[in-house]
Amino acid sequence: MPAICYTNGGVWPTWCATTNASAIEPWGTWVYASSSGATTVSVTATTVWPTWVSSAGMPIVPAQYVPPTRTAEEIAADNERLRISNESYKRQTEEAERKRQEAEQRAEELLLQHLDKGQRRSYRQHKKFKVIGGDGASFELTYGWAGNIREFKDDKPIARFCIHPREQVPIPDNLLAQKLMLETDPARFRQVANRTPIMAGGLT
Amino acid sequence: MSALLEMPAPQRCEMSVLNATGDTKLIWDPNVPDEVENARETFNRLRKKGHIAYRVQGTDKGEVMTEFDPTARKMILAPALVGG
Repeated sequence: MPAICYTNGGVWPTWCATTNASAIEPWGTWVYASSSGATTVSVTATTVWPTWVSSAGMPIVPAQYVPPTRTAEEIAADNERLRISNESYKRQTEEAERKRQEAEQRAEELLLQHLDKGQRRSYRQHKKFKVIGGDGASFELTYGWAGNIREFKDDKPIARFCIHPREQVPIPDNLLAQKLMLETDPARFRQVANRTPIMAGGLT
Repeated sequence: MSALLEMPAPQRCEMSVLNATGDTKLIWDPNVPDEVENARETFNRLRKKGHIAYRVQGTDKGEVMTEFDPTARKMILAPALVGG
């Protein structure tokens, strides 16, 4: 059997590019050491496997890919496994969605309990409501997670605020937490929230 | 002669903790020490975690609570808010 000598030991670690091969063609270059010194072989990526070069001039036998044959029973078994897996995934997805909707509904009920009549009407119709902060400033809270609070002055929006719970909760819970902080601790709200001024014309 | 009216302590107090399920409610009877202690422990644990406690009453503005009040009819514990 002809010997193939490699530097740095092992076949796979010695899979490297030569100086005349670009860094993106490692597969195309099979470097080996022979008794006469290192010799490089440049091959294209599509001819890597067929280009099995030995130091003793072994003939190159291109490998032919032969797909494995499967019986009808094996194919049917695979299809059944796939069907079961798909059904399981579908059940999990539906269950997660059901829980999400339950949480949303529960949170909305709690929020509505703490909105006055006008706020409830506005929320139901437009998914937003106005809040007077503890410092007398006027805010509008819109259904959403972030950047959903606008401050108004003389009926014009002057700033947008982004603030939300540290952990994920349904959106109505987010609105309730924001409302409570605005009403009870507006200084802390302004300290924590990211504020973006709104220029005339509504541009931010 | 003035009559001193003593309001009896409410029989049912409720703490709503906002979380991913919407909210989890903890209910206790202020006249039952074990229940009060359980509610107090939950309150303190969540406050330590950063939750903000509010005493709420319907549509009225809430009030921040820094100490557990076993007779508070209804309170909401919201996770800490962070800038987005």
